[in-house]
This record gives sequence, structure tokens and C-alpha cells, in this order.
Amino acid sequence: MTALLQLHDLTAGYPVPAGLLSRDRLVPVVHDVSFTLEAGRTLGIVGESGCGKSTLGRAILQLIPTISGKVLWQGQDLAELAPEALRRRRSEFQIIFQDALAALDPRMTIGRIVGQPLATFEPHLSRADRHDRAVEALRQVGLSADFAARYPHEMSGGQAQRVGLARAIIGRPKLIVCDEPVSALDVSIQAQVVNLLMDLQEELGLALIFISHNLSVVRHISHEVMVMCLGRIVEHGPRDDFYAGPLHPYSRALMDAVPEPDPRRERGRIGLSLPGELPSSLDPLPGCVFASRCPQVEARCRADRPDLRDITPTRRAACHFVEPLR
Amino acid sequence: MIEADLPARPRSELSLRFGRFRQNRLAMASVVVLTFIVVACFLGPFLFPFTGQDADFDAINLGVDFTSIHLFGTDDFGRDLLVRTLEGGRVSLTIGFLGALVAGIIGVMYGAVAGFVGGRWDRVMIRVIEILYAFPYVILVILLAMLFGGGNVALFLAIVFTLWLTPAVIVRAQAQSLARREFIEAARAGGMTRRQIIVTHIVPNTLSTVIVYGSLLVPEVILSESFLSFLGIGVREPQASWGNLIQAGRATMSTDIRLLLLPATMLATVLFCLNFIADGLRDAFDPNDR
Repeated sequence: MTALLQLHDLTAGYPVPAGLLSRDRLVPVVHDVSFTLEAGRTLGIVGESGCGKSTLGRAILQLIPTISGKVLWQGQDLAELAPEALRRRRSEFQIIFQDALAALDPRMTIGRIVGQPLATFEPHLSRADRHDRAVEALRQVGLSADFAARYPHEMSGGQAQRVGLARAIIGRPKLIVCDEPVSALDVSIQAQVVNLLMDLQEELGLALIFISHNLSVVRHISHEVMVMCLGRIVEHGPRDDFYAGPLHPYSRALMDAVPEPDPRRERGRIGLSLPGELPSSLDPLPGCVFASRCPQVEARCRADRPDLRDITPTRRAACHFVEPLR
Repeated sequence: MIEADLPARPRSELSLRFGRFRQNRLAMASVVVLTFIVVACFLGPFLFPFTGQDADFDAINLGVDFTSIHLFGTDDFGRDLLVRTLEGGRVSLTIGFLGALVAGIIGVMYGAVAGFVGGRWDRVMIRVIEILYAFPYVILVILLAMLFGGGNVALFLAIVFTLWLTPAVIVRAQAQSLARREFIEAARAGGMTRRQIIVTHIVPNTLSTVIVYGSLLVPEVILSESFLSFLGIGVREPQASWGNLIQAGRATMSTDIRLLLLPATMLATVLFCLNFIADGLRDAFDPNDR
């Protein structure tokens, strides 16, 4: 059976203005990303701000242009689909956002926002049917039918995120890319939304790509964890293995950056923060993406970039010092 | 189910804002005065047994006399001044509102497409606007009026042609910032085409700005119509407009100020009203002002 989603050396980025009459130039932000995601599984993607996690999510959904490589959706190369066919296919892979309120058009009622995708995905539906489906989707995310007549400015953050989720599930998707869906919410609401996501995953058989910089949330929800640094994968493996002992020095630095609840231990920890500059993603250096800040750095780290190698049958890492186990 | 703390009745942002506008007394008074003037201009002339173009040679240069049929007197052809002013208002107001509407629609569509599509299309479209901006306004209007052969239609086209630029620039800036908002990305993920996104998301979200700017555009159009008619390249005699009535009044200003005063007062009142309304709309709609 073909996997739900497969990426082969995907490189993607954003357009930047070129000359008056020429097409915009594409500047790559994520480089050579390859992985496979099976139906119903959750992949957590972690990394610091600006490492390309969100860009990767958008590239998978074909919201930003692919520069090279492939996104195979159930074996079908999405780049080869005609625009019209891709539009209809979009019902199968959806997205929810960090700023949930900004993701809702302030001029529309909640019912219209949630039902809108059906106009494309199931154009034969009547207006009334669409409304019924919107109410049904709202119910699935725990909101009453009253919400359909409301406007976004009447929503709290948690309610807005539920509305976004209702819109994402209305077309019966197989994958939802969750782009930092809880980092803007209160801690108590975070737990509600994460648990709702997990319930929906079970109920609808969803695969999730959960992008976050919050390692404990990722630990709670993910089956696999992938660590990104400056647009590249540096480590990828099953959750329990990863949390038991991260392989890449960058992953260890991320783990160490999580604050300690115990103030005495927290005080002793501060010295571990990373020295060195974060290199510009627009002007990449030849070596390892982490070389400028790595505590173990050697000359060859700056000269050649380590490949992402299989360390065990299930784990991958990109570091010269992590040797494959035989 | 979550049902806590919802207000009694859902209200759209637009209805909330018009609610705020209604509390602005000056603006609401202006709406009343403006409505009265508009109704008077369009219906008033029917109350008189003659039109503004009927010359009554037995009643030349009559003064103000509220007991006679010529309430504000007549001009040197014996034409009734009040009726002429009202009929002139018809022309000026029609050109004003229609011109603002057409210029607004063209500007909004052009700006929304340029700002949302972006890239090289945007670069070319904004250059076109910049080039058109570079022409001196009056010279451009005179050239266009000559090109279209003069008359009301030429005047109208010339005004629209020069006044759609600013709304286009304003809407383009709005569309650019909207294009980066998450709800536009969600719309794309939801399979909408670019055209659908522009029509259902971009244009309605520029509405607040467009309403405010549009309300300032109306007096601008009326003023430029009057200005051009005053210069003699707009509405032509015997048809009246506020511009050419003021021009005619100016000629006799030193001997009989009456001919200047009535159309000038009407024009000024309308412009004041429109500006107060625009002000009220801006207070109600501008999110930076709260």
C-alpha cells in the first residue's frame, strides 16, 4: 500500500521581487526534506523560530511554490495535478493556524466561514445543506449551533481555534497540518484543544502534522518527532526514542532549553544556553546548519554538511558524530 | 458544549459601526440637510410652471421677492434663479455621486487585483498609476474634454479618469496586507480560486476604507465639476450647473451679488454636509481612532 504522504527531497520557499517585468525569484527556505507519513499517525515537527517548520507545512499543502523535489499524496505527485484538480483535492489535506482569530474572515458569520470550503469540494450541495453540514462540523468540535450566526470578533481564542478546526474537518480530510495551533492560547485551553485534536484524530482517522516549539505538547500528541534547523531535518524518529535520548546536538540543546519547574535546578541550568550567531537562511554556509552554535563543532562540520543518515532502522540524524548502530 | 458569555444578538462589524455613526449628531444633521437638498434639486423644479431655461423677457433681473413666483428673482435673460440653481444641483449632484461611484468601483477592482495578485502584475499595474499621476490634473482634464468633444459625458469621463487613481492606490495597499492574513491562506487551502478570493474576501474587507474614502470622493468630484464648469470646459450654457451659475454670478458680483450667493451657498452647504458625513464615517470606521 502506498503511504498517505511522502516527501522526496522537497525544497520550497517564498517569492521575492525581481525586475519590473520578470517573474519573482524563489528563495528556498526548506531544503531537501524527505519523510513518509502513514494514515492516522501524528508527526510532530519542532525547531526554533524561523527554522522553516511552518514553511514546510505550507509547502506540503501546495500553498507556496515547490522549487524542487516531490510531494506524493497517496502516490500522486501534487505538482503534476492541474490547478482545477488540485483545488478539489484540497479537501483531503487541510490546515489550522497559530493565530486562530486572524484565520477567520471578520466580515463573515461563523456558519459561512465553516461552510465555505464545501462550495468548492461539494458544489452540488444547496445552501441549506451546506449550513447543516457547518452546524454538524461545529458540533464535532464542541460548539453549539448558536455559533453559526455569530461573528469572529465575538469569539475567544479557544473558540476561534475550534471554528478553524471545524472548517478544516468539514471536507472530511485525511491530513491536517496544525501550525502551532495552541501556542497562542492559555495553558488550560491548550490542553482542551490538543485533546480535541486527538479525539478527532481517533474518530475520523486523521493524520496530523503538528508543528510546535513546545516539546511537551509534541510529546503528548505525536507518534514521531522530527527536528528542523535552518530549513533542514536534523533528526527524525519515534517519539519515545527521541525523548529518551535525542541524537543530534541541536535536539539536545532544544531539550535543555525547556525551563525547569524547580528554581534551584533552573538556576544551575542557565549556562547551557547556546552561544554563537544564528546564520541567515538567505545566505547558507557550506557546512552543518548547526555548526556556528554547536558545542561539539570541529573543522569538518564547517566544511561539509552531514547527510541525514539512518542511525537505527527507525531513527535518522544528520551529524558527523552520530554513528549508525550495526 | 461551549455557550458562555455570548452577547444577546450577533452583530456584524458593519452594523456595529453604523450604530456608532448614528450617534454622531453633526453627521446625522448633515445627512438630513443633504437629503433635503437632494430631494429639492430633483423634485423642486416640478413645482414651478416654467423650467430654468425658459426666458421671461417681462421679468428680467428681478430682485428677491418671496411674494412673487420668482422667489429669488431672475437673471438677465429673465430665467428663474431658484429653479436654475436647483436644476444645476441636479447635474452637479448626479455627476458627483455617479462619478465617485464609478471611479470608486474601477479603483477598488484595479487595486484589489494588483495588491492581491502581486508579483510582476502588481509592479506593472502600479507603474501605470504612477505614470497617470504624473500628468498635471487640469491639463489632463482639458485634453480629455477636448478628446471626448466636450459636454457632460466628456466632463464625466474626464473626472472619472483622473479620480480613480487614489482609491486604487489605497485599496492596493489594503489588499497587500490582507493577502498575507491567515484567512486568505485558509481560503486557498479551502480550494478557492483567486477570483473568488478577491470577490468574497479581499473586496468586502476593504469596505470600511472604501466607504470613508468614497465619502470624501463625492465632494471632490462635485468640486472639480464646479471648478471645470467655472473655467468653461464643463457643463455649458444654457444648461445650468453650480459651477457655471457661480461663474455667471461672478460677472455681476459688484452690482448684484444675489446671482452668486444662491448657487455658492448651495454648493458650500453640500460640501460641508458631505465632509461632516465623511468625518463621521471615519470616526466610526477607523480602527486606529479607538
